[in-house]
Amino acid sequence: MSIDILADLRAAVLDGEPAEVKQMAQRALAAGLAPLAIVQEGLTAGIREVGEEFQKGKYFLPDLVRGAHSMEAGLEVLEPLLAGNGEARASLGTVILGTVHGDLHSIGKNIVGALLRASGFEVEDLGVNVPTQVFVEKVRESGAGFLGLSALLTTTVHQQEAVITALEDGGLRDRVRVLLGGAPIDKAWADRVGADGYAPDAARAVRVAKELASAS
Amino acid sequence: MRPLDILAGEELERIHQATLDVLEHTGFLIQHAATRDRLDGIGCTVRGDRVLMSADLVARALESAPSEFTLHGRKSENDCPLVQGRSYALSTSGSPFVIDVRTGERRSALVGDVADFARLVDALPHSHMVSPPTPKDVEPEIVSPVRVATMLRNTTKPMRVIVESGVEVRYILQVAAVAHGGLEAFRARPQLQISVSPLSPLTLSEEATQAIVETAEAGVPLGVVPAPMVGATGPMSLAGCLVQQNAEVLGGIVIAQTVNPGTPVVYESRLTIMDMRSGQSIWGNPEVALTNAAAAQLARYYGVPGSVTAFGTSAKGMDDQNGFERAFNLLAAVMAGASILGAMGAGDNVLHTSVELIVLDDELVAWVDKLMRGMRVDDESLAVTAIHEAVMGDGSFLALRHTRDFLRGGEIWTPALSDRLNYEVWDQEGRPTIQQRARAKALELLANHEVEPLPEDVDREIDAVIDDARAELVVV
Amino acid sequence: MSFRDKPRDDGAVGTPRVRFELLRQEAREAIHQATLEVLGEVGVKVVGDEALDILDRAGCSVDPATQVVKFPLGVVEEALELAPGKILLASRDGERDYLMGGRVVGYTNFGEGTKVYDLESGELRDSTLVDVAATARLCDAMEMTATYERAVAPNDAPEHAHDIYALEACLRNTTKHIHIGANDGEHVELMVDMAAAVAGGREQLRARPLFSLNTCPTSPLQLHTASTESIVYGARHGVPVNVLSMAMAGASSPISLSGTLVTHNAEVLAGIVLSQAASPGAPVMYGSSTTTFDMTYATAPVGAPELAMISAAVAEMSDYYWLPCWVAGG
Repeated sequence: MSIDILADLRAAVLDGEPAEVKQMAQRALAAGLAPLAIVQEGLTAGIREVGEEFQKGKYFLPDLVRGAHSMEAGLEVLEPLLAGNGEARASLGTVILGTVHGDLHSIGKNIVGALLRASGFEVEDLGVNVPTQVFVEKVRESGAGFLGLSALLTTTVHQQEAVITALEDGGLRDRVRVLLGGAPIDKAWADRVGADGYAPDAARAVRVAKELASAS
Repeated sequence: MRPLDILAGEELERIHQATLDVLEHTGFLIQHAATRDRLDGIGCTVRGDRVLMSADLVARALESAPSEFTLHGRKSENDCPLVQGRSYALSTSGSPFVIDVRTGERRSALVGDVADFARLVDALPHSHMVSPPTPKDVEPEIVSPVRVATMLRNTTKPMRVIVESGVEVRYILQVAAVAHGGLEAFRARPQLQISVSPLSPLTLSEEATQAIVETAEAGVPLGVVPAPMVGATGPMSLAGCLVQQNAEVLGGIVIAQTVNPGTPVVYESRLTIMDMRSGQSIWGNPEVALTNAAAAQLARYYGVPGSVTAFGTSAKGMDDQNGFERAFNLLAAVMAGASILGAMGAGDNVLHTSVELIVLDDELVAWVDKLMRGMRVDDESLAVTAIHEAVMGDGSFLALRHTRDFLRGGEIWTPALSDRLNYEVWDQEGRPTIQQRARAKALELLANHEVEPLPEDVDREIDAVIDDARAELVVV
Repeated sequence: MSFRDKPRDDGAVGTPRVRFELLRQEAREAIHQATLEVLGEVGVKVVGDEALDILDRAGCSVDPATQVVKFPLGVVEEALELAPGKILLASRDGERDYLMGGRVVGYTNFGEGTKVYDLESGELRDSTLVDVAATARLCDAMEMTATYERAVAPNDAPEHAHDIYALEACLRNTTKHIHIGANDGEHVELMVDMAAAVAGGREQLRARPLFSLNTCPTSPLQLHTASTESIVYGARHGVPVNVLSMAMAGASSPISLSGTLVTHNAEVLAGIVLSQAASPGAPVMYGSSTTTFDMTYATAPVGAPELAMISAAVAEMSDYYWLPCWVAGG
């Protein structure tokens, strides 16, 4: 019975149905399963399978994002209990994420956010058109280890540089790893403005973040 | 989608009337006495070797030609029902050369290439019919029976072969009968279309006439495939050349229907343009796309399946010209409602053919097919609810169930070969080209795709038929 | 009276003889109806006090807190009726004017790229003002190019004045009509001044606009400052404005192509309403660079069959409204 619940939970994550996942997480708790086991054998195992299907070319970005949303829905139920038990899901770190000032494009940032969450990062999404000072303040107060700056327009990429400069001016640059993304961004740009990492697509962004996390 | 009418209704009618005029007053030169006699007997006027055909006779022939029939696969899942609204891609016929996939160099076609093309078409999802190149390593007198035998062994899809003479047809039919368990079984589910080419302008040699007669007598699907060259073997005006080609096709259909009413026939257009500097026949010009579309429309008008050169190009290498000429030719042919899209894999004005190009053409067909399916327009696809949901949410449609469901339902095409990477990744991966991917895929399929072999006894019997043909036909 | 009754001369010189039809008339009606539903009930977010004021006065319902504007049917239909079916894209010397609209098809180059393959080295590099001038001169010489769209960004020009510098380079290097984007209303004014100097005055420019503006709504369903100001200022000076959506089906618009046409249409029609409310009869184009979204690589493939389908459908929708249409680029 309990095994069936976890299998159903994995299937619901694989299917990308947040509401169902939430319900099943509650059912699993009612059946007496430990929160940590539900997270590990249900949610995490499910999202891993989603990633594998994507690698095989059978799943696509909507499946990845829906899988990630499903996992978040499950964690909403389970995480408070983990904390109550003194257990915690292993986190790879916190990423502050946002699209820079003047830029309203959210899609790329949203995909990266969903994949980072699904891979074990905490993500604080500040949304689009985020003023430089808001990034700086958030870094100052949150103590997050990563800052992800998205820019799609050639007219807004310079804002990435502005944020890095502002972090330096505020004496915060050493506290945070800065990651850049967006269609006009390349490695030369990331190097020029002194970012810690850059990735040309969402899957590689997760890889870069993980490498930086394990290096720290 | 409704087929595109390149000719207005009255233009089509005028081409038809002009064609009848040509057939009635200029007539067809038929170098086969028995056929002339036969036509004389049913009301044609014979003047020397020239046969003048009446409008009435043409109308009766078109009436008895079936408007729909099926070219069968060895397995029924590969059947190609030639019906309105469906188009099938066919590999190139008769090229003397191939581009060797291993060396990239041009060389003479060999029997092994016939097998390769047949196997490749068998493996590819949007390639429907096989036609062979002309191999050099077999005696010319028996090249067609050998090609048919080779294709039967290497594909489960329908095939087409162009023949020169009636004796070839006899041996081809024997080979096909052996493979299908008897002539009756083959006739019931023909896996082969036999095509005969009148010589432009308006001439049928004795051998070609015999080939039409033999094919029609057997009741096997027949293609009539003239290839007039605008400005050389046909008039310089496109409409004029269409009139002549139309007369040549209709003349062939009259003979076939006279021999055996109800013989399934395909209206095949291979009209090309003569390059007025080099004298070469050009297959990539916009005029080819235009006349193909008109020929497809004529075939629809007559209610017989139409077949055109849909992948013609004059380019030699794998360059932009090669891509755009083939793509535009294909698009015009499909939009005009041609049933059979010939010349997959062809380059250099159909003088060579290449497995890489077949793989690329498979992708082109998938692209155009997606376009021709048109757009779904109903409440669910108009998506007013999904729009509300996304706008009230984070402004993205990516995570909606609507998106997942329509994605799985095939709303968006996923290419097999085309590059979709972003620049940086493409650059990091060494700037791969579509030609490299096509080549790799061709090599992979040729190495791994297996076609179920014919039973051993059938195989031996086919060899015996070929031996007989060699003994009878090859001049030592 | 509605846009359906606009006079149509579909037999103009140069009209192609062969027509292709992707959407039947019922499908066009269905897309129009769904669009009206979205415009009336979901609305479009419009940024810019002046634009909100214009739309309010035109009879739209404006929520000042959310900036969401809802468009009643009558307002939309009135704007569609007022917007001209044909517009003049004037050349400097009058030799190569292009009368846009009807069923005549013209061709133009792509814009705006940010990088070029260097002709000497073959390598990709950031584009510069010199490239703007060179592409303008090249397109000036290309027979089939009806107008010149500013092909690349002048990355070496001052960051906040790319548009101004680019227009100058264009005006100096082609006599064909120029198509270009502007950062905001203030820049539109500067660009109008510059072009008026070439045309011989503002009234001469209004009679023969040497350049037209291109602006992109943000999908889904938003018009931000650059767009609203380009539309309003352009309309006032008689400078044609191309309202060109660049949605990606499945990401910033519905994955179903007909659903994408609905949000696309709503965005463009919102821009057209604003244009006609700002200056009735102002020249405006129905634009599209909308395509699909690659669900594996997160790229916007403009070589996909879906782009061809959307472009064909967009052309048919603009034919339905009898508006000049610009696909697929921007």
